[in-house]
Amino acid sequence: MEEQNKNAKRREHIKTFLIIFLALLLVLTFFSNTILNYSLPTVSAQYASYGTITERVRGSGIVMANQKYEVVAEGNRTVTSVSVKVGDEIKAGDPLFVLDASQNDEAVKEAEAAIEAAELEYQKALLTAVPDYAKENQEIAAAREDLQIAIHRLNAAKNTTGKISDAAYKQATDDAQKAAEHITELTGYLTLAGSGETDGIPAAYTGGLQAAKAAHDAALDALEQAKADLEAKKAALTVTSAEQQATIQELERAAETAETAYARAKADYEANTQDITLQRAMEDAEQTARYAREDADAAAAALTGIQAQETAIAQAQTAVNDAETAERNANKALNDAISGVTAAIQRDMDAANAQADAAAAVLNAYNQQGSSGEAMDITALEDAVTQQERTVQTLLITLAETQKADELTQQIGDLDLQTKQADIEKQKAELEELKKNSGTVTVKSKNAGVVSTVNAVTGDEVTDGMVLAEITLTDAGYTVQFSVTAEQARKVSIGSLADITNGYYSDLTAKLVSAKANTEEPGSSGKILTFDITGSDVTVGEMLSLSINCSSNSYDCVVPSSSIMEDNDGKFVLVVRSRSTPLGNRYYVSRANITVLASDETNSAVQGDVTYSDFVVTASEEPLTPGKQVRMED
Amino acid sequence: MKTPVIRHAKEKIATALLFLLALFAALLFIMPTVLTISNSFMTEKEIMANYGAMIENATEDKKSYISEDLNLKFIPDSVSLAQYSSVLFKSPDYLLKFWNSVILVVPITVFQIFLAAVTAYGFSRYRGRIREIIFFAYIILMLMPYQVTLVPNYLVSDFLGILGTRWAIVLPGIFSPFSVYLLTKVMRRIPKAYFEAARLDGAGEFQIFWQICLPLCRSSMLSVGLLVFIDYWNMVEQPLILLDSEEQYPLSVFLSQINAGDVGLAFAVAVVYMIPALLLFLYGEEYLVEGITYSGGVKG
Repeated sequence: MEEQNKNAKRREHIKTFLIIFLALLLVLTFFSNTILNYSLPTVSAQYASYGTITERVRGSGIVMANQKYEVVAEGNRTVTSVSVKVGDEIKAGDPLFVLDASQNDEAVKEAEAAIEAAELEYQKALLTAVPDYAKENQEIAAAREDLQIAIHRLNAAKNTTGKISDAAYKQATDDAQKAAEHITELTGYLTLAGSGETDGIPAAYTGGLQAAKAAHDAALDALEQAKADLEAKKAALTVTSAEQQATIQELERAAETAETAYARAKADYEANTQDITLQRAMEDAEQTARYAREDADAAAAALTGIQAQETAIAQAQTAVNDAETAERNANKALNDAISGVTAAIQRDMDAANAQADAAAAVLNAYNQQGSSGEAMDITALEDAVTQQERTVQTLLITLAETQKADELTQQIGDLDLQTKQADIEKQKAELEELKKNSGTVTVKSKNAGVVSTVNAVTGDEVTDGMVLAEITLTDAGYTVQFSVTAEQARKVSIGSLADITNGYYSDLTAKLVSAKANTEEPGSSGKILTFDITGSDVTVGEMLSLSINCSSNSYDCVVPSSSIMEDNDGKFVLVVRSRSTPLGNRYYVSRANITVLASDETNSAVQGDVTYSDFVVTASEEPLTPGKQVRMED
Repeated sequence: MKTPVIRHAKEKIATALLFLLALFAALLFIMPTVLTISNSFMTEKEIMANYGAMIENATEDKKSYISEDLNLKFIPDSVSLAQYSSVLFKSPDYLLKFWNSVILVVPITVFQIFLAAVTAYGFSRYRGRIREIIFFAYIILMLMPYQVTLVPNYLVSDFLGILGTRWAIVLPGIFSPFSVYLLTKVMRRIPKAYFEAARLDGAGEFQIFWQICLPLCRSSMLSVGLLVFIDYWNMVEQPLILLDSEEQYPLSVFLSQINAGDVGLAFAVAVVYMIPALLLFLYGEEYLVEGITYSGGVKG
């Protein structure tokens, strides 16, 4: 009995427990949906849709100056002051640095003094006497004269072999006398011929001259006659053919005018033959026209005569010219004849001189013979000649040697001069170098711009060629470059303006000027976009983020860019799928692999496992994995 | 001739061997249950670490487990109620499936017991050639495996227009030859004198059935009910074939498809699913023994 009670109690407990269990499950079933919903991550989602994407190419680059100017130190100096700092705007000529090297001033002075001394020495060397050989030449000329005398004597001795007789002496004296007289006579003739007085000269000399004179006179007469004829013909011609032609033209016109008037009058009359006035007028006009025609014809006939006269004048002129030519020829023949007279006289004069010389030589020889009493020793004379020749040779050789020695000395002197000049140049260069490194200099800017770097501070020792500062030339503009893919480069167009997306710049504009191959990365198909930056806010070295509009295209499936995620398998979006349950729709996220076709600031056009009506997750409270259940945002 | 001592020793050894054998068999049978309960306190990560190789190989290509070896682990690295929390608070779907099971199994059990009792009363009270033939047909039907009648069930359900609804499971489930056979056997053991006495007292047939027969068969009915409940609580084929919507599936179907579901929740769900059957068994344990004893007892 007790056993049965115990069993009954146990069953009661079990029953109670079962009821509680079922009741609990019932309650939990009722509330589990609520609990679940609160435990699910909330997501925001929106439909993928048709849309237009205006793609933008973005990139960042550092502002670079198109041109820079480097301020370079000259010489080794100490920086004593720096007048600029980075970012300063400067104008051309503004002082930048003061560099000092006054410790080298003394050395410069010493170097200058050394150069002056060297130049003086050089000038002195230049003044060294030029060799003069006048004395030697004079000596050689005298020796040559002596040699001529010796030769002359030898020749004379050779001609007068043997002793000169007294008869020969006398003959010689006579010859000399005659020769002297002949010479005097001939000299007189020459004087006459020179003055043109040929009458005093014997006919033997002037035979041709007379004939020439006669021919000349005849030519002169012919010329005078021709000229007179010409003048007479010219005087006879009162009207020229040109004037006559003008007259003819006038008369022709008058005749034509009269004929025209006649023709009109005739026409008037023929129109009205009864009118006597018209008839008279016609007759008057006819008469006038006839007279005018006769005048014109007479003038035309006169022209022929005038032209004949002019032809005659031209012929007369030709005759005058011919006569003048004849006269000139005759004159020339006359002058030639006069010259021939002088030449003939001169020939006789030369002969007389030779004769006198020969006689003189005989006389001279006789005189010498007379003093020595013996015949001239020809061998001695030959020796004298030889001796004299040697003397001349010796003098010539001495002169040549002297000249050679002088030349050598000159060359050595030239070399010395060159060396001195080179020394001076070298010293001057050293002086320039010293000057560079001496004194205090103020380094000034050669261009206007903005100081971009300053590499020296007060107290620095700078060396020659060291870059002290860099100045960005404001006039040359600024550039920003960044690299993009080849596909992006195809989408942009040169000349388009880019937006500056980082920071606010009042007047800064960026213009795409080129898209060139990326040479820094060989093998890549990327491009470097270069933008011209203009505006007042430009600062070199600043990072600018640029965004440039590409073309707009419509796409079937556009999703917010924030919804696109990426992992090792590529890009994807999470799409919300619903599943119907007895407790209502449940939402799960599933992965949809996509390819991004284009993007703008907020949206992207995609292609892949997502279609335009899919609900795409844009935001989530917590990281989602495909298949996870989510709660839609209220 | 063996001495009683030796015989006693041999008996003891034999008993010990049998005990060991039985113990081994018991362990073999209880191990899955223990494993399920202990693993229900593990976290999902731990479960994946131990059984991932088996589960994921069967389903997907993607690997998220480390060890290739299957590891039967009984003691959790850190005891966690995460699975129970998920099942009870964040899995309305599973709770609904639990109720799906209840909705299917409770009507089947109740009506089957009722119908079986009525039928068994008929078989036990009336004798004749037709009754014998029908009873024989019941026995034949009982001996056939369920799968044999599945196709006719499907066709009939389709004919009746209840395919895809719960009726397609409930209606065939109500008629069970086994329950009829068992209750017939039990009722036949009731002495006829009871019925005759009642009739003499003026009781009608229904009164005799309701007031005399059923109370005498109470324990047998409970044991039959328990068996039917457990049988249908674990059904898998019928919902899969006869129901269209997954939403109508009982939890047992989910447990059979554990690979495709939330592995991390499977053990806790199994434990939760086990509880009603276990409680019912504990509740009707005595009746079950009693009922089965009656059915195979002295012929009345």
